[in-house]
Amino acid sequence: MTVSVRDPETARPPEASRARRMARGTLNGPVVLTALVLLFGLISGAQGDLLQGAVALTYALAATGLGVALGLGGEYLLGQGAIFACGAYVTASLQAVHSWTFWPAAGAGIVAAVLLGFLLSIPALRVSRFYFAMVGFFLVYLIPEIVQLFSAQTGGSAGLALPNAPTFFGITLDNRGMYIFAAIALGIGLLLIRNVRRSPLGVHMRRMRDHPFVIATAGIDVWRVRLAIYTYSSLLAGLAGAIYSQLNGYISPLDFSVDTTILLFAAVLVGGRTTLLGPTLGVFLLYVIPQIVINVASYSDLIYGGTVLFCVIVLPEGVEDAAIGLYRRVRPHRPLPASSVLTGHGEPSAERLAELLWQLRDGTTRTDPLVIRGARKAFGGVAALQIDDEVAVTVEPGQVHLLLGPNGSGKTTLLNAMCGLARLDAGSIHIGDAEVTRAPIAKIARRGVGRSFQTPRLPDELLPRQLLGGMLAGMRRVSYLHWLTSDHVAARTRRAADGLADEIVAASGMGGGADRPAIDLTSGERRLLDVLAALTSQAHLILLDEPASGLSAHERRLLAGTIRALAARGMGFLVVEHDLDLALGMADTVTVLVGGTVAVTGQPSEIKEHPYLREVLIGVPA
Amino acid sequence: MHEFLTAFASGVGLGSIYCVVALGYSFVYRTTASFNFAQGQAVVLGTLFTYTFYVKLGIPAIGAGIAVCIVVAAIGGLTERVAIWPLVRRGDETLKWLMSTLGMAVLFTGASLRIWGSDILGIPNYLSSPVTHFGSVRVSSSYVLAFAVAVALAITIEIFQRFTFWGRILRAVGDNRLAVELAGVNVVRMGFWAFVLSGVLAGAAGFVIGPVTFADPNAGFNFAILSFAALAIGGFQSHWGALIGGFAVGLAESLGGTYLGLQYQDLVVFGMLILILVIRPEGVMAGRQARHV
Repeated sequence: MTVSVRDPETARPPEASRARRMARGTLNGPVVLTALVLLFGLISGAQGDLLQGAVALTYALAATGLGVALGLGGEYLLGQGAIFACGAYVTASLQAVHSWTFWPAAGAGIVAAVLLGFLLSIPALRVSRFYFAMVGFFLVYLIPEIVQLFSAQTGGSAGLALPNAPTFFGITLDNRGMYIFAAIALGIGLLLIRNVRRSPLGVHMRRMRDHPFVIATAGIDVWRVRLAIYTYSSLLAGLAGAIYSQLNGYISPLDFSVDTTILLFAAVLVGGRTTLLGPTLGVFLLYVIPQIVINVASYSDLIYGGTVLFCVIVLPEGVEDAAIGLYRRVRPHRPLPASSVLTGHGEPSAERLAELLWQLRDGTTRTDPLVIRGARKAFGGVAALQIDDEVAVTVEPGQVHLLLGPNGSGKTTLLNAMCGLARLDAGSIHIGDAEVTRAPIAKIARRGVGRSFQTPRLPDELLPRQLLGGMLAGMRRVSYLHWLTSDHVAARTRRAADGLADEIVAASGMGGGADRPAIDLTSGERRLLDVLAALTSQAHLILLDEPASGLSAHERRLLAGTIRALAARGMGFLVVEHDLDLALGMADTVTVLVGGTVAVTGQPSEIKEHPYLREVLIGVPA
Repeated sequence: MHEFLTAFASGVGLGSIYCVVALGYSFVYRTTASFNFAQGQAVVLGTLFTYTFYVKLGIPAIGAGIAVCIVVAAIGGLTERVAIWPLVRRGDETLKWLMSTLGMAVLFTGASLRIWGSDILGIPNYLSSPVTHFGSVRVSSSYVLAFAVAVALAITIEIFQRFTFWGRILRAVGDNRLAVELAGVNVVRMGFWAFVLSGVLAGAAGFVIGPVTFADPNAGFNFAILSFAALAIGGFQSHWGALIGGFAVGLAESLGGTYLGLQYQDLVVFGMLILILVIRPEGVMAGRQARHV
C-alpha cells in the first residue's frame, strides 16, 4: 500500500479535512478522560472514595470491552460478567492458594478470560445471536455453582481472602495506588479500542454487524473478525477482573451476580453502544452518581432495569448520540456545498477516477476469467436457474458482460452463485484453472472476485473515507495485534488509505457527501459508495448488481465511463442493469436470461435488434 | 433402585413445573417470534399474588387461581405496551425485544422485592392429601397437579392454535408477520393479545407451582434461564418441544442433584444444553428454523 496518487490540481476538498478534524477530535478523548480520572485520584483524600472509584473504573473497563462486542460487532455478549469473574477468580486463586505474586497471576487471569471468550465464541459461530445471548446469561447465572465446583481453588461460597496487597517495584499498592493503576488500565484499554475502531478491522466489524456475509464477499473470513471481537472484549474484561479481585482483599460469588452483568449492559446502552467513551460515561451515570447523590445500593436494581428499558425504547443510540442529535437540531447542518456532479461544473472525469482506482492495485495483474457452466439452483423446489450443461457464462478480464432478463429470471441468483453466496445444486465454477464450485465465499473473493449489492450495504455511522479506507487496507490478512497496538506500519497504512479514500471520494463527485455518515447520504451517493467499495478491493473481476439504479444522469455517465475505462485497463465486469441505453452502451457481450435459462448471447448491436429480446424486455411484440 | 425411582418421580414432577412455565415462553415465542425475558418474573408474580389472595385474604383456591390469572394477564398486557409496542412502532429488530424485556424483568423483580419483601413465602397445598403413592414411591400431590395442568395446557393450546380462528392467526403472526399484516390483520393488536394470553399462562403456572416452589421474588431469572434451556433442548417451534424440554430439564436437575450433589443441578442442565446446541441446534422436536431466530 505504498501507492500514492496526488494530483496537485485537486486540492483536498474542505469537507474531507473537516471530517479529519472530527476524527482527530475523538483522538484525545481517552487521554483527557484518564487525566481527569487520575486528577481525582491524586487530590481525593477519602480512602472509601478511592476504593469505590477503583471499582467503578474496573466496571468501566469491562463495559468498554462489552461495547466492542455490542456496538462494533452486534454480538449480545451477555456472558461478559462471567468473563470478568473468570479473570478475577483465576488471579485471586493463584495468589491465595498457589502463592503467586500479583503480576504473573493477573497475566494468567487475563489469559484465562480470553480463553473463556474463545470458548463462548464457539456456540456463537453455530447458533443465532439470540441463543448466544441466552447461553452467556446462563453462564453468569452459573457462577456460584462453578465457584462451588472448584471450591478448593476458589473458597466456594464462603469467598476467598487475599494474603496481601499487590506491590509495584517494592511499593505496596494501597487504595490510591490501586485507583491509579485502574485508571491507567482504563486509559490503555480505551486507547487500544480506539485503535481498533479506527482500523480497517473496525470497519469490517461494523460491516459484519449489519450484514455478516458482505465482508466475506470482500475476501475477509467472518470467523476471524468475530474471534477478534471476542478477544478484545474478553481481554478488557479479564484485565478488569484481575484488578477488581485486589480491591477488597476478598472476593466471593456475590461480587459477580446477575446484577453486575446487567449494570455492564445498561452502561453500554445508556452511554451509546457505538461510541468509544459511551460505556465509561454509562458507568459514571449509573454507578458513580447514585453512589454520590443517594447512598443506595438498595435501589440499584430499579435504576439498572429502568435504564435498560428506557434506553432501548427512548435512546436506542445512547445519551451521547442523543446529545449530538439535540445539538444538530439547535445548529442544523450548513447547506451542503453543491457537489460538482449536480451543478455540472467541472464534471468529475471517469478517466481520472479509473486511473486512480487502477493505480491502487497491487501491480500483479491477474488475467484468470471466471467461467460458470451448467448452473442449476432451486429454492424450495422452485428452479431459479436451470442452465444447460454445455452452456457457460464467463466474466473475462478486459470485458464488460451485461446480464439482462425480466424479474425472476435468475440474474441475482447467478451473481450469488458466482461469488459463493448461493451453493449450486449442479454445475461448476472455475476461476482460471482452479475449480471453486464449493469454495467458501471469502476464498472466491481472494481469487479476485468482488461484487456490489442490489441494496447498498453500508454501516450507518461510517464516513465514506472510513469505509473506503477500510477496504483499501483490508485485503491484507487481518492481524489482531497489528491493529490493536497501532504501530507505525498500521498508522502509516491507515493514513495512506484514508488519503487515497479522500481522493476517490473527490474524484467520484461525492465531495458533498464526504463529511456525512453513510446514513445521511443520498441514495445515489450510497449506491456509488457501494460500487466504489467493490472497486477498491483487489479483485480483478467485479460483479455489479444494478449499479445505476438511483443515480442521477451525471452519475450514470460517470459510472459507465469508469467501468469502460477500467475494462480497457484489464478488469472484467459482469453487470446486471435495467437502464438499457446505459447498459448496452458499455457492454462488450450481452447474455439474456429468461426463466433461469440463457435465452440469447451476443453483441449489444445484435441484441438491440433481436426480436426475442424486444418482446421479453421491452414488451414490443415481435 | 428405590432411590432412582424417587429421583425419577420427583424429576418428572419438577419437569412438570418447568413445562408449565416453558409453555408460556413458547407461546409468546411462537406468536411474536421473540423471547419475553419478563415471563419468568410474571410467573413469580403469579406465585406472589397466589400468596396474597389465597393465604393472606383467604379466597378459596379456585377463586384465587382465577383472580391471579386476571391480574397477571394485565401485567402481560402492560409488558407489551411498555417494552414491546414502542419498538414495534419504530420497526426495530426483534432481538431488541430481548433487551427491553430484560429491563422489564429487572423492574418486576425490584418491585416484587419492595412489595412482598425478600423472604420466601410459603403456600399450602390445595389438595386434601399432600402425598400421592405410586407403588413404593411417594410423590407430592402438587407435582401430580402440575403434571396434569401441564398436559392439559399443552392440549388446550394445541386445540386453540389448530382449530380456532384467533389461534390460527396468532400462529401465523409468529410464522410470517409481514404476510399476515399484508392480509389485513392488525399484528400490533395481535401482539398485545398474545402477551395478555401469555400472562394468563404465567398466572396459571404461578398458581399451580406455588405450593412446590413457594413464592420467591428472586426466582424470576431462574425460571427464565431454565425455560430457555427447556425450549432450546425441546425445540422452540412447538409446545410439545416445551413439554419434552421441560421434563428433560426436570429430570436432569433431579437425577443430577441426587447423584452429583444438589449444588450442581444447573451445571448438569447447562451441560445438556451445550450438548444439544452442538449436536442438534434446532432442538429435539426439530423445528427447522429454530436456530435462525
